[in-house]
Amino acid sequence: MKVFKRIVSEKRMHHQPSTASDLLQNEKQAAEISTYLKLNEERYNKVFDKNFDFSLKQIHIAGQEGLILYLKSMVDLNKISEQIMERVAQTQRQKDCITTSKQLRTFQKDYFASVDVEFLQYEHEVVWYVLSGYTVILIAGIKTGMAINTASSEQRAIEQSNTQTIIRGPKDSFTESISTNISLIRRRIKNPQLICENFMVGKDTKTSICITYLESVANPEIVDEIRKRIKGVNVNAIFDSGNLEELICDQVITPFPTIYHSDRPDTVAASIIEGKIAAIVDGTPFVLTMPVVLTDFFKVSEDYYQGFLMSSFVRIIRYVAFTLSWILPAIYIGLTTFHHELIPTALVFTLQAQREGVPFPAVVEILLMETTFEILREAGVRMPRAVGQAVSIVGTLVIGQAAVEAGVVSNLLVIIVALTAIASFVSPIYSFGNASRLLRFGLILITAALGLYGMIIGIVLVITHLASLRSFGTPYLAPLGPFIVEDQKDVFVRFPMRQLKKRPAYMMDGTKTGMSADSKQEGGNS
Amino acid sequence: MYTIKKENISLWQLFVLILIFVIGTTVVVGAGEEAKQDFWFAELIATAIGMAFAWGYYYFLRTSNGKNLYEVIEETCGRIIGKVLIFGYVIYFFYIVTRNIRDFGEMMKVTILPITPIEVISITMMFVVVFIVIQGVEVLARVTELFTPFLVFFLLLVFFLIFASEQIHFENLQPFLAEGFKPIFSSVFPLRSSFPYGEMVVFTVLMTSVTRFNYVGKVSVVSIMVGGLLITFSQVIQIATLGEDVKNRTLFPLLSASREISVMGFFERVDILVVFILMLGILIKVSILFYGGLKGLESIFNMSYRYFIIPISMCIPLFSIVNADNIVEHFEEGLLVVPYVLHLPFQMGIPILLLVLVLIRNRKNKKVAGGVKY
Repeated sequence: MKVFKRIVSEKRMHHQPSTASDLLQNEKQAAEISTYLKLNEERYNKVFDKNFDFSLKQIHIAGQEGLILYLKSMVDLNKISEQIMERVAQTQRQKDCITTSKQLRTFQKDYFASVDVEFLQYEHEVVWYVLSGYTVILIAGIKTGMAINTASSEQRAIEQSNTQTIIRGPKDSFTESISTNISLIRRRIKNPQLICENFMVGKDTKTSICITYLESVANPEIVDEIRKRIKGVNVNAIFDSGNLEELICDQVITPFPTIYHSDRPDTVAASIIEGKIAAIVDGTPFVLTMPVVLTDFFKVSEDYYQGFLMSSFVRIIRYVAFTLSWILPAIYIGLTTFHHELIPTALVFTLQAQREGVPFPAVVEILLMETTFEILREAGVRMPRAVGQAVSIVGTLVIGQAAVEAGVVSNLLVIIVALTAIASFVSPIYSFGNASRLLRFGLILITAALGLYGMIIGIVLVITHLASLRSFGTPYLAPLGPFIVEDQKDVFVRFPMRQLKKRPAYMMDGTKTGMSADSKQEGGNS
Repeated sequence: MYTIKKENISLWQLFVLILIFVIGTTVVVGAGEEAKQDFWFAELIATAIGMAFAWGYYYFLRTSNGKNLYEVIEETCGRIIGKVLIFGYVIYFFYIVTRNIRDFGEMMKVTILPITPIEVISITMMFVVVFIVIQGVEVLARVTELFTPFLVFFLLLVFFLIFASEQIHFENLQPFLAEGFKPIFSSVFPLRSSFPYGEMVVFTVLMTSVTRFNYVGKVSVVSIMVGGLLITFSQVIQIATLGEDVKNRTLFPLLSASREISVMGFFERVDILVVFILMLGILIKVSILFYGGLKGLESIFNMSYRYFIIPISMCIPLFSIVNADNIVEHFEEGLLVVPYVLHLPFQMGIPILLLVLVLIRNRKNKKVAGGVKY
């Protein structure tokens, strides 16, 4: 068998794949590393031919000829001189030269014990490790290569979260580095059951993705499903967890996010303890957690850090705000154009007096203002900081006040649009607040056609859609529909901490508490 | 052959489905001229009968080993007669759907959308029903679960507001049993027991999807009891507010009663709340009946019911309008013809017949099996 393998590999040597992408893609018919240094040198020079930052040097190592390969732009040159070159120089004193892979391993234990070393078998591995910032050492006559981690660790410091600010509670947030992010979670959950599984996704980017969960608590079926979906991802590039989110979620055609994301380590750690699964994507501070239900988008980690009365009150405010943010304009249209009789009499008069000079029907009026607001909002997000002042002045003064004075829209309408806009920012997760923006326009149109009857129809359609959504098998409306009594302690109001001892039951697929006997005892910390 | 995907609903979901199904239209639509001011009492008796209905349907399903109505029909009556009978049920369910859609359309026309053509309301309503039913009974159940608190809350709110407006005159309820029990019984049977309680026959299709079938009987009975009490309460409020004479002459008494509301000069004209109660109720009721009928088509043709949704849903608004020329004819049909021609046989006659057939066959099987109990 071994002989046969050797023949095959020798045969391949003659028509070797020579470009880097060929080497990377032919993982299944991988070629082993050659024992002839000259051949190796030629091959890798050819692979990294046009790259100015590629460095391939010949060295003497342990009385043998050797090659050292790295990408200058990816490595920390200090590390190379400290961790590799100095030690290589030490090896010159060694009397007997190394000739087998086995000797290489003992050699590594003698000289490179303190650094992060991988042993390589195949050519594509060499290329892959060089690309990810390792320094690879190949030695004449030995089939095994040695890759030493010398990647430069340039990264942003851990800063405050920009997207989910809280007043009381831990202030740190995730960074772009996956290892920092994992350490932030591990530091919070010191439990041997915390599993971090690694995956490689993206044909070109080879982004590492780490699935993190508590093995004793997470539903194994959901974990399997997530593994399966991540393995099934077949794209060229993953730059952000948003890419992955869309590729692995249950339902794409929906305004509602079916995966939660956060850049706050405490939020993610709390989710993991609840039995959810986190996916950390290298290169982005946003960590996904799944499965998620609708009510999760109304929870903030701060809810658990301040008193339960205040948290409950604020949480109810959030629900009210979200509801307002998508139905308020529709109510305005319904009442002003179809059902005057529902407005208290005194208010009808002032309303009509205001609208007297307005030349448009209420729908046109409101669509005008909503569109204006959406434009202002988008401009506000994308523009350079320096011109921010100009936009806000134009937005508030010119469009708000002047539009009313010019008689294009009524005063009440400006209030409605402003309230709607502010209400849509209340949602702690930005992408969830966005859902209301889309729904709002649909609801405005249907109400303009059918009055409040149309509005109810629109609401029923949205609720039905929500009821049909699932997030990794969990009904999106749980624990409201299906109704689960035990989970109600942490939905609209937050009960005192002493009562919140159980993990949410909705993820456990119907079984009542879904916890095995041993995890029940440790379940008090969620 | 097409294999039917099993969908499960929980006991609580069955509870709310039955509750909404029962109070759906009944709280608002008027009836019971014969019983006059004692109509609430007739309603109580009808509730008791309704509980008997619910237990009866559960018993029927239990004796036939948890098979649903259509499976039982096919097994006991053979292929050809069975399919004809199933088809009868399908038509029956769809007919009730059209009636409910018509009820709703007329109601909207009278109340909040007087100029809009009734066709628009029927078609948009049916569109929502299709959107719910096409996603399956699980989604239907979840939607019902979410609507139930709102529906019950608004209903109680309306009662409370009427009470707060000091419009309730309990002397309108007197004299009690002035003409004896006879008018009460004539309004209970067959009209009030067949609508809404007899329409529960559609749950013989749904009950078998419940995960813990053993409790279905109890849950349905309790659900009917709660629903019946709400209806009775509603009737008491209506009679006490309007008086028996006005109440019997309006089409939608609860609506008329809620027009009397005036609290603090702010809560006025809340009758639109009643319209929404009716709307959500009818929506669920129609969805359940529509689903029941579609399931029948599924068992006749051995194809997923989703294939039939679009064509059938297109027919229903049409027939809801063709059924009757005007609202009076529509109600006349509902009060004089439908109970005798459709409700009695489909709600009681055929199920009882089937039950007898199943019992006979079970006994035969027992004899064959040598008295082995199962």
